[in-house]
Amino acid sequence: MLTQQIEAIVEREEDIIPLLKSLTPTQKRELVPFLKTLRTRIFERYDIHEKTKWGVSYSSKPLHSQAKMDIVDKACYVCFNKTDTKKAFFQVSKLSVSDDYLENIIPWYKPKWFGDFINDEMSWDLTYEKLMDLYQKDLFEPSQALILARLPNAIVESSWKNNVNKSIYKPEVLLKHKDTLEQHIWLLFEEVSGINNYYNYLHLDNYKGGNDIWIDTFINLTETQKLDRNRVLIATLHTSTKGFNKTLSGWFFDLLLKLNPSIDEVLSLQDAFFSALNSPHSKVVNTVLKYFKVAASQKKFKHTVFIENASILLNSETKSVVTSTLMILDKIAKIHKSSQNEVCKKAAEGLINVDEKIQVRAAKLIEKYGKPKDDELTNDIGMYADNLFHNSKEILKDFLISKTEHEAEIEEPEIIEPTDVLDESNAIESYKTLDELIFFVSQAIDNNEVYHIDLLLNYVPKLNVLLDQSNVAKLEPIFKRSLDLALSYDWNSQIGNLEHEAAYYINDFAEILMKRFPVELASFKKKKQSKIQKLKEDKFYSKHHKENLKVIEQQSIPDYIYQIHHALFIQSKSFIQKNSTLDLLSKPTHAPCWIHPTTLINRIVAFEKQNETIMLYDFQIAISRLPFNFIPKEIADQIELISDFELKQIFKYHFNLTELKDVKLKQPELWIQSVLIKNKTNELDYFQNKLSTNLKKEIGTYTWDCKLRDHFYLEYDYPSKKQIKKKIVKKELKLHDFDTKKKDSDSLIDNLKGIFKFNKNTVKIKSIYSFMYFKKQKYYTTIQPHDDIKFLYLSPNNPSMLLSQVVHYNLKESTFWDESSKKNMINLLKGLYNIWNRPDYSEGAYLFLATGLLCSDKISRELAAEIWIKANYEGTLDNNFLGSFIGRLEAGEYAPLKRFTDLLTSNLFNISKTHNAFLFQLLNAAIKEMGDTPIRGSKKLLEIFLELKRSSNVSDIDKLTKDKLNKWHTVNSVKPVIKKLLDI
Amino acid sequence: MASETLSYKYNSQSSITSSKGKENLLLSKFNEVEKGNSPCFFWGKLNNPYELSRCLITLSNTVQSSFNLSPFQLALLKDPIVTAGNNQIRFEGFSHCAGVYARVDVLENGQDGEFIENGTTNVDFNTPLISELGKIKKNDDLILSVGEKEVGFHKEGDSFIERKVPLPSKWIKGLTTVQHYFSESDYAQTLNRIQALQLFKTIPSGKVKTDYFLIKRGNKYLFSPLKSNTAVCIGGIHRLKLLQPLIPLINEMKIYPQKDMQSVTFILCFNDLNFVFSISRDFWRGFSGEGAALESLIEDLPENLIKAFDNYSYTNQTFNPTLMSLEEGIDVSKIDKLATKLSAMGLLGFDLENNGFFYRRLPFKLDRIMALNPRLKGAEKLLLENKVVITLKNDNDIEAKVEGSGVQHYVIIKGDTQKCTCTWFSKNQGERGDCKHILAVKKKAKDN
Repeated sequence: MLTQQIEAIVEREEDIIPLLKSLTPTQKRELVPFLKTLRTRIFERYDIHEKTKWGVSYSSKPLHSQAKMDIVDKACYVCFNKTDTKKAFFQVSKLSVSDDYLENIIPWYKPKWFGDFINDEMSWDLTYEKLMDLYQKDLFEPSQALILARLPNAIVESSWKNNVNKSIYKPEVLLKHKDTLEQHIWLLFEEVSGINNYYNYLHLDNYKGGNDIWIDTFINLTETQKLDRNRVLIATLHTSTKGFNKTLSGWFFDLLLKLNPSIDEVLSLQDAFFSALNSPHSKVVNTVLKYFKVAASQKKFKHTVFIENASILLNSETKSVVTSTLMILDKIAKIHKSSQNEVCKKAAEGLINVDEKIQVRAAKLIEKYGKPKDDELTNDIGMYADNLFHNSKEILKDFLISKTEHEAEIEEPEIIEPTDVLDESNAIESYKTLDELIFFVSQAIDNNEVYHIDLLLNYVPKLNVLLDQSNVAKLEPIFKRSLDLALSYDWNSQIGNLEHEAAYYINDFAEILMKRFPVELASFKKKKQSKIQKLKEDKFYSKHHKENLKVIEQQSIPDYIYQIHHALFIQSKSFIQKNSTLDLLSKPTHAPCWIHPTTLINRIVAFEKQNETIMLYDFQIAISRLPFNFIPKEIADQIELISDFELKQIFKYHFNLTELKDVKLKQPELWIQSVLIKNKTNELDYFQNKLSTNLKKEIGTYTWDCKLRDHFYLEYDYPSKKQIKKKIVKKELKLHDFDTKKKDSDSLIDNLKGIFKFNKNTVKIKSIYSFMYFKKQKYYTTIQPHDDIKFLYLSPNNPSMLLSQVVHYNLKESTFWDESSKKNMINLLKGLYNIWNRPDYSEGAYLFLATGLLCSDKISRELAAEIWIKANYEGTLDNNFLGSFIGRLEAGEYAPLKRFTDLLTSNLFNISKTHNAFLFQLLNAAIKEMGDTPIRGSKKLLEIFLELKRSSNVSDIDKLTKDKLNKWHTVNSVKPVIKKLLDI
Repeated sequence: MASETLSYKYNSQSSITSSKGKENLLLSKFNEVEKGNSPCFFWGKLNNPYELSRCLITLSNTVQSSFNLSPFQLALLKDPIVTAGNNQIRFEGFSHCAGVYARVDVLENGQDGEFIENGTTNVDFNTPLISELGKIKKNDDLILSVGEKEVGFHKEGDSFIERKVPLPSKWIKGLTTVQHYFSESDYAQTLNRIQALQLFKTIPSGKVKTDYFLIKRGNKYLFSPLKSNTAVCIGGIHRLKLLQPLIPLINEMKIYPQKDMQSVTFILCFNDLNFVFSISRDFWRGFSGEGAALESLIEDLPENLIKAFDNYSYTNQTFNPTLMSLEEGIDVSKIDKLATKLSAMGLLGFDLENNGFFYRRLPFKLDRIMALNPRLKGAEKLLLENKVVITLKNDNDIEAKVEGSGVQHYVIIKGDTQKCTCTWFSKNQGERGDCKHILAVKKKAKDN
């Protein structure tokens, strides 16, 4: 009957407490199932669909009144055990600590789990003050975690008055309970808490400190002797070893700074200070060193311990830590004569630094206190000899005399990895047997190698002819994977869009085979159909899947540039349909993309024998993949095997067996690649004139500049309630005459000229370059990472057009808009490294490399540096050209010069003597092109330039560079270096 | 698996106390599989207190670090393992993500003490202890005690420290895999302190997603993002920053890449003290997920062999199968790659410098180790459900059909090469261990 009573109370919304009080434990237990159902019923909600002017809005409302729900809650609270409570309530501790429950229930019934849930749930309603009250009343024992979570909030009381949140500083809370200052406050020093980011942003009526409120509180507590200052100091120092993060550690050391320990305190707490030196955070170490700088001049300072720890400090990545350490070592040496030798040995470790100022400081310290006759010391210094700057060497000359062998030469590197163009080691394995082909095709959509798509196009037609009823089912797994990939919308960072395209292509292959082997592939067919059926029923994908199931010929492509591969996929599919097993001309024979000339000729001959039409793009890609300057001995004979006269002529021209002007250019689109690749100015001019065409874009030469440019945008102005035009200035690189759509109309004279020429109008030659465009969306690039490098390898001998596109769209500024652009940059630089094998790349490639050296991504800069290093080993880089580009970019302050000078010291300087000479050339050309007033960071650049000049005495500065330096000479900051450079 | 927990139960907290001018480092120990009676494994003086304490701090930093997990999981700290015996003490541990393995080896002359009993145990590493370690100076006297020496130091019924953590299955798996990788690693080069310092200065800042390669230019070593076939490959290079504070203190650093570049190991050498640091192929790939040791586990070892092995070996002793078969009268010659198998079961560790296995039984129950490999379990399930059909088998070649999810996978095993048409194999081409289909075929072929 109890149940009916309860139902009636709920129904009438009466007081349930008297009834609950009267329940025995057994009754409570028996009521649980009933209460569970009752609770579900009373807490039920109903859906509301409302039509608004913005569309339908969905929401829900409770079916019963709040009062009813509260009554049921109370009943459940009293009857449920821990597990049931946890399931039923969202945050039961909220109720536990509410005034209602504390007054009306807890006095006569405190559940066993009362404290557990308060500690576990850490409800926001429970302030520190309140929890201490409960603790005082012996209702529960707060956990450490709960205290840590609530104590930081304790000193500010917030309340809402007239819809305004008022906060008051109330530090006296801390004095209310003995435990607070005796125990709880010390926990803040032991465990992670939110003390560091508290109340910096709050407006407090009664507090105008302006500082961190908790730091001030600690200061007050120590000043009023409520907290022991010494204990606070030690605890603060020890926080450095508790594994706190950077901001929290930083906060405690701000507190230390505010506590400002006196010299005596520093000396008496030295051990704690020393242990803080192990902290991974530079702020902590720097703060300790700040105090040590003062303490070091005291006799009591444990200088030997400091010297012991100096090694780690001297290798810190933070310059100020190294500098401070050297300063302290200097002080120690001054006071403790007996330690001078040890100090010098430690200071020698500072010579490893590539920062000249630090190195010189270390050198001066050694010069001041070291004994040049001390073998151990000179030995130590000798180890760093090839790392020393000219100035440091000068200072340390007495210590280096006996070690001339160290000083001598920068060792020439042992490993130079030449670009293997057609080497055994990079020959691509070819597959013939059924098993080999099956396992290759199975991995072709995984992007395991950059050339796998190229191979796939060739191997599927070959696999096709080997299939029969007994083996075709072995392809089921890859068919299933391709289908899944084609229909999936999940992002896979390991593959690009071309792998998706490959999946469509394999789907088509599967369809062809399903017709040929209906029985053997019946199970796959069934699975495909059921998958499609499922998608049809899907709310979101029902439309999309149809697109993705289209045959490859009808598939849309994400951007123009994908057209080239798209054409190859279609070509390959036609081979499958014809049961042809010809190799596409563009199939690489050597990684990453090269083709052996003999192989290419053999393929053409095979095409001719089978009367197969050569696809233009396939041919053009193939020609570009012929390694530049590699001419097999028997090439003349091999060319003769080709029947087609014009093709024969092209190969003869390509391999220098005939001159361009001596041949008839019947199909210019077949010639264009060879002319571009050979890159001879006279031939390019001849070709363009003869055909009335313009190859500027194909060559990748644009007029460009880098300068400050105004940009305008609209911003909403609240006071005037209008859109206002605003201006920002960007340092921007711009390729002029880039936009293809805006074609200049031919002038009358040009038209007249045309009449007497080969063709009447300027003719656009059909080529892969017609598709080497990509339109950039506003904030992201459409070239998916991984595809980028495959596009680069479409034309490895003439990458400039593609790279100009990348510069235009991704590198207008030296920072990247998004992760994909950054990935594009890294991939393309890696790709370029593999193919860079000639100095005469046109502007696009050099501009790309220059932006690589200056861009905001460190990995890209390092990669660009690697290209520079490798190309200079092999003599395939024009340093004047590259240098002038860097200079022109920096004239417009494309990137902070520091980025470049840091790269110079860390990656490009002292690679070898030859490299230093090239680097000198590079900087010489760069400075020449820079602006008439030196930009920030020029001093460092000039210092490196001076260092290079000194290291290779022969290098003379160009006249134009000298002129520029003379102009800069008036600026004080660079004056001294220029004086040295120009020997004034 | 998620509900399984491991409870660390320590009699007391590890601590450092100063008495009579000596620093006493007590490491409280706990082992799930207690062997022997002594509560203390080692008691004695350590010879390089400054370097050792820094190594232990770095080990602790490693154990506390995670390169792919959320902070919540970070809170579940795992304790390092100590192995004492054969005049050596080794401390080992893993990062949470199981992608970084660190081991501190105190070599024979690095200690001057008493090995009361041999064994491996978990030890309590707590924050105050680490904080105290940071204060150890060069000339301090450091006494180490692995377990408490004096029995009854703590009275019975005294409170002990107990921490429950979800079973560190990743750890256990990683600990076994890493030994396997060690055994497949070859010495590449030695760098002196200056070269090592210069090298570590070239670690790029921040979390690095691209692979880096260790190259030598002139007499300088550096990390470069450019792929080079001959260079040691390091994925997730930012993990090496854990080592940075130790580099200024080393005598030299040795580098051992695994043969397929699936891991790289750095050994930092101090006087009679080595810090072994190994990182997995990439920061998001823990050693635990690698299937390197899987093949070794498909064959069951006879129980009496494992028992005999347990009786025969003592901690840190070099493993010598021939000697063992002589002394225990078990013919082990028939079991190929025995050492690999035992290490995969957590019974052996590998010492790169001596190029040999040593006896170190992980302080976890054996069945836990065996139950951890999902691919192995997957393979067994395939066999149980009769999904493997061998279509061809002769001396060298096996061809088989294995039922996968909705499709029949095609598996071939020809001599040393094995291939499968499944996604795992297609993606990894065998570099990360066999897929469950290949494992199942191998097991079936062996059982037949």
